[in-house]
Amino acid sequence: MKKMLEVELLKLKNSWVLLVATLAPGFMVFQGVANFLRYYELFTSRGQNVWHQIYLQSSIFYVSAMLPVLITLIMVSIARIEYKSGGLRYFLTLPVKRSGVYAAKLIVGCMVCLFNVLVFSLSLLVAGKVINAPGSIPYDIILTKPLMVYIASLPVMIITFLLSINISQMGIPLGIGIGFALPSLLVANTRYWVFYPWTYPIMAALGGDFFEKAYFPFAAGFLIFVLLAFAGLRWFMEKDVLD
Amino acid sequence: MSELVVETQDLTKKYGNFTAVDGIDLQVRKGEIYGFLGPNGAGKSTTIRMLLGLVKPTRGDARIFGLSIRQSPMEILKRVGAIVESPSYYGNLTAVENLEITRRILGADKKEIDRVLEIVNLSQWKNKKVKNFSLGMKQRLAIAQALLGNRELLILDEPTNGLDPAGIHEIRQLIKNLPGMLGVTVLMSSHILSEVELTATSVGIISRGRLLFQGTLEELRRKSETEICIEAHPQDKALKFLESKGLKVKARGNRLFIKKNSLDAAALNRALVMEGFDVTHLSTERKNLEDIFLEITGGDAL
Repeated sequence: MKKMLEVELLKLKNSWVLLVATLAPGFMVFQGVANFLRYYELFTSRGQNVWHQIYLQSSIFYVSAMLPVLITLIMVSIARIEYKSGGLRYFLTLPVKRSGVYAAKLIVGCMVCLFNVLVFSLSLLVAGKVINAPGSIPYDIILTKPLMVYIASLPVMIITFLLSINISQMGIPLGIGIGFALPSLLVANTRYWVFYPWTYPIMAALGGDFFEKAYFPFAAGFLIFVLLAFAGLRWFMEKDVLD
Repeated sequence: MSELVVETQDLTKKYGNFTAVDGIDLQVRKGEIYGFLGPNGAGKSTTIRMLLGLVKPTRGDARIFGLSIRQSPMEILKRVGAIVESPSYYGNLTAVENLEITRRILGADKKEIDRVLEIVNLSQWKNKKVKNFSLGMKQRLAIAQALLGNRELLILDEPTNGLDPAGIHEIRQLIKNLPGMLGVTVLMSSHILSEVELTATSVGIISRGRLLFQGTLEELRRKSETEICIEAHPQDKALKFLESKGLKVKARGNRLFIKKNSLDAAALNRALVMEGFDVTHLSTERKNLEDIFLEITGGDAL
């Protein structure tokens, strides 16, 4: 498996996906902090925690719009590498197990997404330090919260992964991934959000501790991920490679 | 009879009601270059994909090195190098990095990369990104990938497709030299008759999913004996007359065809005229491979 992961990482070399995954969260935090500074008085007038405000301002953009789109882009790119010039049909003629190829690609995809979330965390830390936020660094806000968001994003990851790996035209997974991401903030404000996995990261990030079923995005997210990952594996192992 | 490297039994693939490959029994012997010939859409690629485990057969089995591709794909694929349709590569990587992927999977020696680059003459471009390669260079890289790690069987699907004449010549020479140079067996598909004629030692002809001929190129050529072609009137009576002389006659259109063998065309002509037939045309014709091919496939042109 180590060998398969190394090979999958090698395939990503010179690909713009790692660059985007690195730069985009930093940009979002920059936006968030800029917004926060613009309305500094308003956001701190009642003695709110500056760290928390940085987190809040950054994650509204990041979690509701940027993250699901980035996840889609990451998953589509990882599959795109295989379909653009017949890589997959060649790679599968090598002595590799299909289950191994599937697992390695899924793991690498999820790791790049995790990397993306960690860059977001790091950007929050840097932002807080740069504007001299008072108090000790609240890791539960700037690290634990984003990691919770990551877990709540697992369904989005597996859905976009399965679409990308099974459909050789990238337009379809790209369209579905981004199309479903856009209305997620609206759906999150209705009680139907539980049926819409794209809202889970939003609930995890911004739902706070007030709403009922605070555990739901994580439990459902994890369960959906595991079920779809195994269903997709079966599919991938039986699939005729025609592209 | 030498050892069979590839052997399929009743290999069949159906997509719904459409039978892409229909009960094929391929036999490829060790050390030969087997040309798998057929028009586009005849089922060549599907067969090759089944041999490589990319497509699951609906029925039948493919055995390579005596092992079943269904049961032991890993053991087989270690020893088989392949190109499936257009050359496959990762465009964002260099030639060396593409080969490195293959090398790591096979666990081959680092030196293998330089060796195969040397064989296909790509050493000087080895650190260039493959997406900037010409089609010929990509094709050569694909062959290098297939050769890496001393594979015993090469399965090459349309290896000269889309190349310019110089490229075709180069790849053809390379393939021809492979069995002698490296001791490999080659199974290559093509829709170009002359291609197979110039490269292969054995031929399998496939059309509409069925294997219509299989044998050496010699055996295929032997089908191309000379025929005497006659136009005589009235034709049906002439046919009966010739048959009564113990000849095997075939009527095609308004002409009669008889295998030449040791037959004397002049004597035949004389006999017909003496019998009162009007002979308006008489010629001896030698069928070329193209004619044989058309005859075998029932008119499905390449």
